[in-house]
Amino acid sequence: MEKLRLEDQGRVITALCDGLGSGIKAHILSTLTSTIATHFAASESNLRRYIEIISQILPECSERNLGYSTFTISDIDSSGRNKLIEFDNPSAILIRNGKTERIQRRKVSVKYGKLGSREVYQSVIEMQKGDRLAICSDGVTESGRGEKGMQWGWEEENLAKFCERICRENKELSARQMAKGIVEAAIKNEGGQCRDDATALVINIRRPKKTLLVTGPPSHKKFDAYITDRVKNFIGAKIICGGTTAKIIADMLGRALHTNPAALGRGLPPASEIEGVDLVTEGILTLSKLEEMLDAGSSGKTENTPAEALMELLLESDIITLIVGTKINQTHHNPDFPIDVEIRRNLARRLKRVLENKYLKKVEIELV
Amino acid sequence: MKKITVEICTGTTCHVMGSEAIMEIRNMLSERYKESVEIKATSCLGFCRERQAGEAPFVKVNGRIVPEASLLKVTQMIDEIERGN
Repeated sequence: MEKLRLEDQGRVITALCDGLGSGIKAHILSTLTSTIATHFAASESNLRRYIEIISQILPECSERNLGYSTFTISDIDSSGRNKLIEFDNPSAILIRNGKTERIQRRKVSVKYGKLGSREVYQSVIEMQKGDRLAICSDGVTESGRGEKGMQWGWEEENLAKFCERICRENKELSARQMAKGIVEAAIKNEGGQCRDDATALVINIRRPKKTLLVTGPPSHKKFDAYITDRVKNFIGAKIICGGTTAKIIADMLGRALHTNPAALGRGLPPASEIEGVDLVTEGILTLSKLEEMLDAGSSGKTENTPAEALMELLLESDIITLIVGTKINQTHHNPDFPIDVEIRRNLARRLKRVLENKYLKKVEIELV
Repeated sequence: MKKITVEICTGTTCHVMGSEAIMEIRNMLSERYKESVEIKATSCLGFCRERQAGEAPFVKVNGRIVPEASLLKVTQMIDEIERGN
């Protein structure tokens, strides 16, 4: 899967690819295809030409004399116009108002290496607020093949019904939650372990979700009221990372700050609570762990640590504001400290980079 | 009888210097103390910024600051207070 945001054109291009076979070769095929496909789509090259090029580039399977990766490319602009190209993947599913909406597809024949002519489906979807578009690999639709009642696997029709149901049950279902739900259902169809790679990509059209994360005490005490006001008046999820920062804000708001000893964070200090704030955690250690987890792309594990709760909130957001206090904590300049206890603003910059590049979030940093 | 309050600082400095291990005191107190001791976690108590307070990790036992706290030190202090009672 490859994601590309063209900020100046207001476009987001994603490609879900599934390489032939499994293991390292399949991974290389799909990575190669998704990278090429997104960049070809970005350049708005001729479809026939770039599929021909992809077919020529991919290595071939010596046994079957073919070597390809299936792909679905979604190229969506800020008006919601989505240009979809589907090649050998299960059909994308559009859910509108809780029901599957038919996508008008145009069949195009293209030359594809030694395989000769192949069919590619092109469509343009004018996406509306609340729409969800699910794109899956055949590991999802063919999951459970041969199991009781599923001779041919889950199949596209049942997947569409499943998508309709989960969208109806939870009107606020995010793209991440839906993609996760689809893959988990596919794994369940297989009795807990997939025989083929199962990948799901979901696009959800909605207003951007905003999050404010405040970390570190401000450089001067006079800014304490400013950060408190920002937290108090912010519309969206509110996070405080740092004990001193939390204490400043709790005191200024006149609210209690509770730390739950039972919520010890497996190597991280426990989370705390302030009424009206969604999450309160320790600062540097938790943010360092968060950056490590975001960089590794880890998700889905439920160790229930403050860093995971933080990651969950940030990944559900689209626009993230980091207010970073620049007061230097002298106690961190201690030779006994581990090397990853770093200056907060460098950490904030690294978080911005990983959230923007890997997760397509918009992140702004404000130093106080 | 008034409970003995043990507040364990979970701020960054105290955590790195070993306060998480002191939290284990919850499982190590003998049965007779379990009723009379209240263990609390707190966000940064701020003592690490005061040189005269000593070194982290910090624990407060009945309001008294314990610098360079360890499981042994805190348990001994609880014992002392209990005997005094």
